[in-house]
Amino acid sequence: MTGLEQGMRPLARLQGIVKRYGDVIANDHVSLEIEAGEVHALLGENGAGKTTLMNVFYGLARADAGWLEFEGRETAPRSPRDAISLGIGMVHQHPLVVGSLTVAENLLLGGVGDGTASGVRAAAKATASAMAFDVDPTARMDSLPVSQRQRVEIFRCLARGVKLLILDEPTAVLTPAEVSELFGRLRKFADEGRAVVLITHRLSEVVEIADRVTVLRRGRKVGTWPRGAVSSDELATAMVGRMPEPVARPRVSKGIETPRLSARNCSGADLHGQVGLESCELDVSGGEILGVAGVEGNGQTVLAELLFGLRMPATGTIEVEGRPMPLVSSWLSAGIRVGRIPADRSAHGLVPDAPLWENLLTGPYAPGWLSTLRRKAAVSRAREVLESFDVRPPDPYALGRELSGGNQQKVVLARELSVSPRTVVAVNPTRGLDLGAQSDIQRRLSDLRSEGVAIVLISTDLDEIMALSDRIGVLYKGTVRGPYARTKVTREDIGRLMAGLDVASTETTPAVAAEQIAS
Amino acid sequence: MTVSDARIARIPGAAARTLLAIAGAMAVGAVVLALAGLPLASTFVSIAEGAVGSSFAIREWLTEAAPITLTALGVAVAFRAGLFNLGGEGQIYIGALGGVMIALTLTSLPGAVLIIVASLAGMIAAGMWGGIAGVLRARLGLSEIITTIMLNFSAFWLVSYLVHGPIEDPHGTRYPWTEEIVARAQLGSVGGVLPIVAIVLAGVTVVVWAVLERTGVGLRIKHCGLSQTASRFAGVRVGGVVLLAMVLAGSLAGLGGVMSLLGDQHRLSDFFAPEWGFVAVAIALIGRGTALGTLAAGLFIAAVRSGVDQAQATAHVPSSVAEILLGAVVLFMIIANADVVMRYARRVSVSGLFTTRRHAGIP
Amino acid sequence: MQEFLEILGSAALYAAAVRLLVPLLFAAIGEIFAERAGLVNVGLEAMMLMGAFGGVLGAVDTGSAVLGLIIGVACGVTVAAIQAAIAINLGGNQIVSGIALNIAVLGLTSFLALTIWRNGNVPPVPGFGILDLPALASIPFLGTVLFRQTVFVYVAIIAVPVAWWAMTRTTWGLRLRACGEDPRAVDSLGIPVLGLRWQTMLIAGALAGLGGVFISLADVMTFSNDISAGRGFIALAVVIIARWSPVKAVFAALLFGGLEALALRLQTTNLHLPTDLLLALPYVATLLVYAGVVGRTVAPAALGRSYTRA
Repeated sequence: MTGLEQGMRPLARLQGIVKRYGDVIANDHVSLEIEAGEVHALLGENGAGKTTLMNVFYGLARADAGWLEFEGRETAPRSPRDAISLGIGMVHQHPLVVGSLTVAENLLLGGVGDGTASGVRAAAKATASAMAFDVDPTARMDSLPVSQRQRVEIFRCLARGVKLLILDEPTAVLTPAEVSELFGRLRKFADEGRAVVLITHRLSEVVEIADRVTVLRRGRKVGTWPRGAVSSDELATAMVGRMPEPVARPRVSKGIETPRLSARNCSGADLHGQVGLESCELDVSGGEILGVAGVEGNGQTVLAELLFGLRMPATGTIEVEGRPMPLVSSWLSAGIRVGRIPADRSAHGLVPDAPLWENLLTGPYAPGWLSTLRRKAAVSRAREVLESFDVRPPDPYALGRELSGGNQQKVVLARELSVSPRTVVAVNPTRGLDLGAQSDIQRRLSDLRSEGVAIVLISTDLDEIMALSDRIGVLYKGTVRGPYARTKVTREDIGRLMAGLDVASTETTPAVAAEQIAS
Repeated sequence: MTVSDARIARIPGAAARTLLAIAGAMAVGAVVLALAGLPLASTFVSIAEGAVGSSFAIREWLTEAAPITLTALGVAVAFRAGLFNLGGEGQIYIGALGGVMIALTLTSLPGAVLIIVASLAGMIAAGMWGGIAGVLRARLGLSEIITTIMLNFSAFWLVSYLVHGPIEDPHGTRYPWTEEIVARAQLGSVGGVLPIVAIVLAGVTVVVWAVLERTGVGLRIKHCGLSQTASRFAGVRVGGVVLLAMVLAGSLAGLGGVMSLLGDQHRLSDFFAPEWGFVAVAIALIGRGTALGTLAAGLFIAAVRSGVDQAQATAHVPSSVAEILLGAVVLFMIIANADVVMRYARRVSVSGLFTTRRHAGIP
Repeated sequence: MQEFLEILGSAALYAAAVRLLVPLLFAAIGEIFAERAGLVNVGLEAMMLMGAFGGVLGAVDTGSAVLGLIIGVACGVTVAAIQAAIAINLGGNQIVSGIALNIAVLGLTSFLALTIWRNGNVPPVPGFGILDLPALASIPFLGTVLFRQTVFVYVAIIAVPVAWWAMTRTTWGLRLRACGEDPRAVDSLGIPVLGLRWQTMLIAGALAGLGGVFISLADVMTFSNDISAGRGFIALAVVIIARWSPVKAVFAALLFGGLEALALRLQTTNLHLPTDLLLALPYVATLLVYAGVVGRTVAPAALGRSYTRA
């Protein structure tokens, strides 16, 4: 029974919201009601328009049509300031805190405390026990792990006394344990008569916490249901319009061979000079996918930089086919063929403002400094490559940033696979892509594996790791734990390892540690 | 409209916006002239006549165009690498200094050899001078905007010191300048109209165009300018590209200095290249950082400058009008290219020259 | 050698250094506000030059140095408003617009000077005289250096702690620093990013204009073409060397002002020094110090980037 039927008005209401970005319609006449006391999940694929819809409510985006209502009064937030004064708070996917300022200063910026730094420090300490807010107020924000930063941001909203709290994919940066802690807090918050909107693309989270769920697909609302009214399968269908095909994983048995790519006792510092990677050991052979799981910020960046040949390890060695791996600039002359798929395809994988035909001519295998560029030939070859990889549009003159994420990733793949690499290193290759592009990329990786290519898949997406990997290592605080054979571990085991817990100590899977493949 | 159509629409769009900006600046110029109480129509006529009204005027125009446009080509190369080379003036002085040292000392060489050696000396000296800013940027991350300005003053005072003493004209003229270079080393003109320095300019423009648009180096310079992050990931030694771009920029400006020395002024003085560095920056901006665009912009701006210079005597037009016009053209180009004003504006060759991107790292 | 040491020990040298550092300091403090908020302002030179011109124009026309000062500052603010509109609202490239303003203002001031004062003969200017501070002026040495100066020097002495306080001890300062680091985060908190950036750019224009007025109305007492002579660019270097701190800016400006005062002083001696090379010294030294400190400085993260909501 909804509030309307009881003759009460909902806490918040969006009616017929339309938001366009150029030719793209992000929200197409979306209507939504949020009741006091509920946790309302906004479910949809990446790019379904969930964040845009909430940005409209928070004053970060202006709707082209439609109207908003909060506590029974029509409103049109022109900026977050308006939304904040109404009592709306939003926690973004990537914490919006100022890294170079301290925790206290960030709280002060958000209007917490009496306007002085010491007042904030006091306020922070006073409420610390209330929400287990055990953060040093004088610490610089960028010295904290992402989960802590998010906690500061949530605390900042709560301290302002918001009535509606919007969280955008808050669990992406959290371990399973932290997720359940967060959900407990959200439940309590809603039970106090306020409301939570949880933006997510994970069905499991909807089932776990939401009172009601609204599904968006391609900018349109599919429907709103109370929990339990629809099954998970039905929600999944509503979300994607079709069931995604599972990636086929042919299990080929392979002989023992020397590893194609291996890291021995590798260490390296992260950007802030702290240890990012410590005594890391891993190896991968032809015809297998080695998955490296882990919560973001546990050394993935450093590991990727080392495997991409962007820098040398501080200690230890990295070997490709038995030879020490030099920096990427000399891969061509050293005859090393490793395909590199970076996490940030739009900033690292591509020169966003250069046309695609030029983007296909970058990287270690690009034409040399003194070579002349035969432009016509390069452009027509680019057109062929783009067509064969089904890049849309297959226009060699399109700029990198004009493509969707999935198509950008295809361009990166097209370039990296054009030299027939024997090894591929991929970091979060499907993050942020829609399901179609996701399964497309995953299938390509799987095909490469069948062709005998050795693949290292560093991913924070546990589902992807479980679906693709033959062996799984877990990055935790800069060290790789495992790897374990995929068939010998459960999703829960990996989750525990990601949180720094020991699998061997649990009674459910006593055999796991023993199954660890010796390297 | 398909993407290809949109691409085709970009280039005339860019040219149209440049012409629009020039028209806007002309309007500002007209207001300024009117404020000064000058009759508009006849003043414009005298400026035009001063620029191209006679074979003498044309020769003067092209002679003036060569050094600043060569310098502007250097600025354009730096733009490609994402660098703001404000050091044109200092690089011109150092280039001319290198040239004049050769021209004054190796006087026994045959004319053609002397000219080539002097040009090379100027280019090498100025290339190294520009390279200082390049090294400081590549190694230490120093903003080239500030270092090139400091290097300008340093170069100026160095030359000033030299022409007031060590290489001062021994024949006791009143001015702080060197003696005139030998006639054999002076560059004249073809048929009294086409200065040899302008032919050099045309040839160098073609070379710069070919390097930027048709070689692996050019591609790397461009990509470094568009995204250092992506270039670093691709394995390009970004520092090397930055250094190379600044050395090229310096040597082009240095060649400009030598051309002014051999083809126009024949002496080095401490009033050799006033504010030329900034004029060159504006020209490269108007030319959108492309070689051919810079050539066109350089010819246009030089025509305005030389026309105003001539009209200063004939129609009492203050020479500063040319600078107002130049600054106004660039300001109008920023406005004409602003996202807010024109949604699909920007790019063509050097993206982000007039608009800032979120990832543009400056300085 | 004896003569050189005498110069080094003379209060006159340090008084001159203070005079030379004041315009740099004003411009640098204004620029620190702008850069802390994420704006890079290469047009500082244009703002100083316009301020110097406006000061003389106002003082000559009204016969009052104070009115000249007000008009000069207003001129600096006007140039800043153009820069702000382009950099903040149009998302234009901040460096390019600064360069364009420098060229345009250089031409405009010399054109106006020529047209208003026929042939550039500027009439006598009512400027700011020396104002001895009672008691303080009689302190040996220090009195001559600091307290027998024009009112500008005293304002500068006050401006430094005020700027420091505003930047580090007020919510406004915290907000503008956050603006320069992460405008998106600031915007999401409902703090008006563009408004704050406008404020800092206008402050930069006013202070650069003030620096320009000091040059034309309290130091040189006239206007000539390009009278600011690159001071705006030196101020940009001062800001970086001072690591965006108004207090350290005093020392960075003193480095340049002190060396320039020394070079100028040595010119008038009969030591037969290569004076032109000495005049290059402040620039070379600034370059070297810049190279020395830069590794340890961290610029505001969003410096030079325009901000618009997606």
